[in-house]
Amino acid sequence: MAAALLSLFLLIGDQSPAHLTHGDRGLKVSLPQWILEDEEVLEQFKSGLTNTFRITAEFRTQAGTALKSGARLEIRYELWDEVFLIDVLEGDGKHSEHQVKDITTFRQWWRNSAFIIHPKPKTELSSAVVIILDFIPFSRSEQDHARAWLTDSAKNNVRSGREQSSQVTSIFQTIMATSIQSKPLWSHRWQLTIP
Amino acid sequence: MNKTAIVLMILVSSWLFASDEPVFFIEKIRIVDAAFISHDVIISESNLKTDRAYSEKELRNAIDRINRLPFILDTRFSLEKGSEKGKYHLVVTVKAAARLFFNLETLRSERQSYKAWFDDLDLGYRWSVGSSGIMFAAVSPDISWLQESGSPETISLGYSQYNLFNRNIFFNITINWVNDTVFTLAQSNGSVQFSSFRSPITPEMSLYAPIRGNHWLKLESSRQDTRSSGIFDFNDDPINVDSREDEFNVRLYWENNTLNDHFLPRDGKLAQAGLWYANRDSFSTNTQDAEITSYNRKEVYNFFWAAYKRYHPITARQSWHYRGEIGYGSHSLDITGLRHDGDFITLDQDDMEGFGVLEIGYALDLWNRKKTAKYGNLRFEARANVGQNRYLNFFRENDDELGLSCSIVFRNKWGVIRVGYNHYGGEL
Repeated sequence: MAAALLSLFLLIGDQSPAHLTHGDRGLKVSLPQWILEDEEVLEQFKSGLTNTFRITAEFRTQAGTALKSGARLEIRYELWDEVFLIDVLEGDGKHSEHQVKDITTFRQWWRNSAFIIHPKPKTELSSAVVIILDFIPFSRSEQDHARAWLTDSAKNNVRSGREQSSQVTSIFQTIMATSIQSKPLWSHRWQLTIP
Repeated sequence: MNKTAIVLMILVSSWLFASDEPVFFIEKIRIVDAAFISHDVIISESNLKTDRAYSEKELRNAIDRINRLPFILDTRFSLEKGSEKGKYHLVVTVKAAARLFFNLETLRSERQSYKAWFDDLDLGYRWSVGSSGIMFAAVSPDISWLQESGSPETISLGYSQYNLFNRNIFFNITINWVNDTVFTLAQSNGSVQFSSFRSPITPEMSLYAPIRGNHWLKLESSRQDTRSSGIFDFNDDPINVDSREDEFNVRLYWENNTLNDHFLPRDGKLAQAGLWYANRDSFSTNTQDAEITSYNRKEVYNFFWAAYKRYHPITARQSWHYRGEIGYGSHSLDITGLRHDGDFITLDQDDMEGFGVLEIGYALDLWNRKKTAKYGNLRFEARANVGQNRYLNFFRENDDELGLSCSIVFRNKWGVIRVGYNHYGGEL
């Protein structure tokens, strides 16, 4: 009984939240390790098809304006090469590709990675932030929508050249607006304070 | 970095991203959990072939195609290593509906003067026949003991053949048998007895030929032969009315269907355009005091018709849709009659007619993905429409009108329940 309770405690206790830090490029988020222990996530990785982690950050500026930003991770496990192929699109618009072998290395990469969710200086943001992590399994035309949106968004903005009140909002829309349409397999929500 | 530069950077990234899209050479397709459904049906509907390479986009489209089958609730794909490097086995895991099924639909409206419990109730059973056939039998029970008016008892027997001639052609034939219905309409100032019985065999046929991808050429036809007789007895001067009506509908049209679900879509479009021929011949005699009046009535519609429906997800649980439908063509009405006094009556009328309807709707999934996987779909739907709804039937004319409706829909592996309310905003 005691062992069972201890296991339950450890299990619950292990559900640590995402972690925020501030770097040169802006506000970064690290995702907890237990996400990669989730059976459904592991099952989806085994499918050999692309799955998406969508990170949404909701906060306010010092002036009280509501802001949304985020990042997106697309992950595919290549069955033959036994490597994880990762595409990351961060909140400052930076796109990077990573390749890591086996699940152990992937867990290390996950633990050591932090993703820019907002490029603004800390001083311009209020301290409270809500982070939402959605796991979206291989689903309909995710990337199609994304590309179409990216192209349209870029064309429109380049053509008009108009400045919006926030570059962050634009990038967030570029990153997120398309994938918001897909039903996540699960979602986690954390209320955090910017350090 | 200014905004233009950032957006350009993202654009370039997206192009690079596009060029890296993985392609999988599928060596073998394996179906899992298909219940009673033949694996060949799922493979042919997916439009996937072995020994070909597919992108993730093509695989996602195949998932949607399978999900459009009315007896499939959900589809998941996964890959396994094939015989050699670069080759894969595609594992298709489907969540299929049960063999036994039901459909219950009731949309209340202030127009209904009777207290009907159901508008539509079907109970059925389906089973697999051969490698690509599905047979079904369904009954709409006589529920007159529950309500004052409703549909008569109907028994349907249908057969659907998928992948006909190994060309992914779909063929369906359904035979409906409608039980006679006899009812008394009024009994206060005399009586009116009316009976209506349709031909025991009312066939419906469909033939769908794939053109390319999600494009189809579709041919649908139905025929209904109805005979009615009535005695209108007021002031002890009864009038006997006998009539026979033969109705025939045929539509030939192109369709592009990218909806992600058959019953509860939340993404994709349905575009249709084609020709619609509808013909109704009727012959009627009225007998009063041994004097007979008879007339023939022939009515023909030849229409061009087009419909477009588009669903857009708003968030993970919300979506909206719009629908437009138009039709334009010729309508001819030819009546010849012989009165009891020997006078001959003729009416020959030809004109051009059109109709149209616009609809906008909203849907909210009340359960998240986990609950949906466990219990089924539960959705709130709201809809507003303006115009004439003639979908599937020319002879059930509606006036131009405004309509508002909301309903709750529940679907699980046993069937669909839709309960709602229609409010008619009145004629335009």
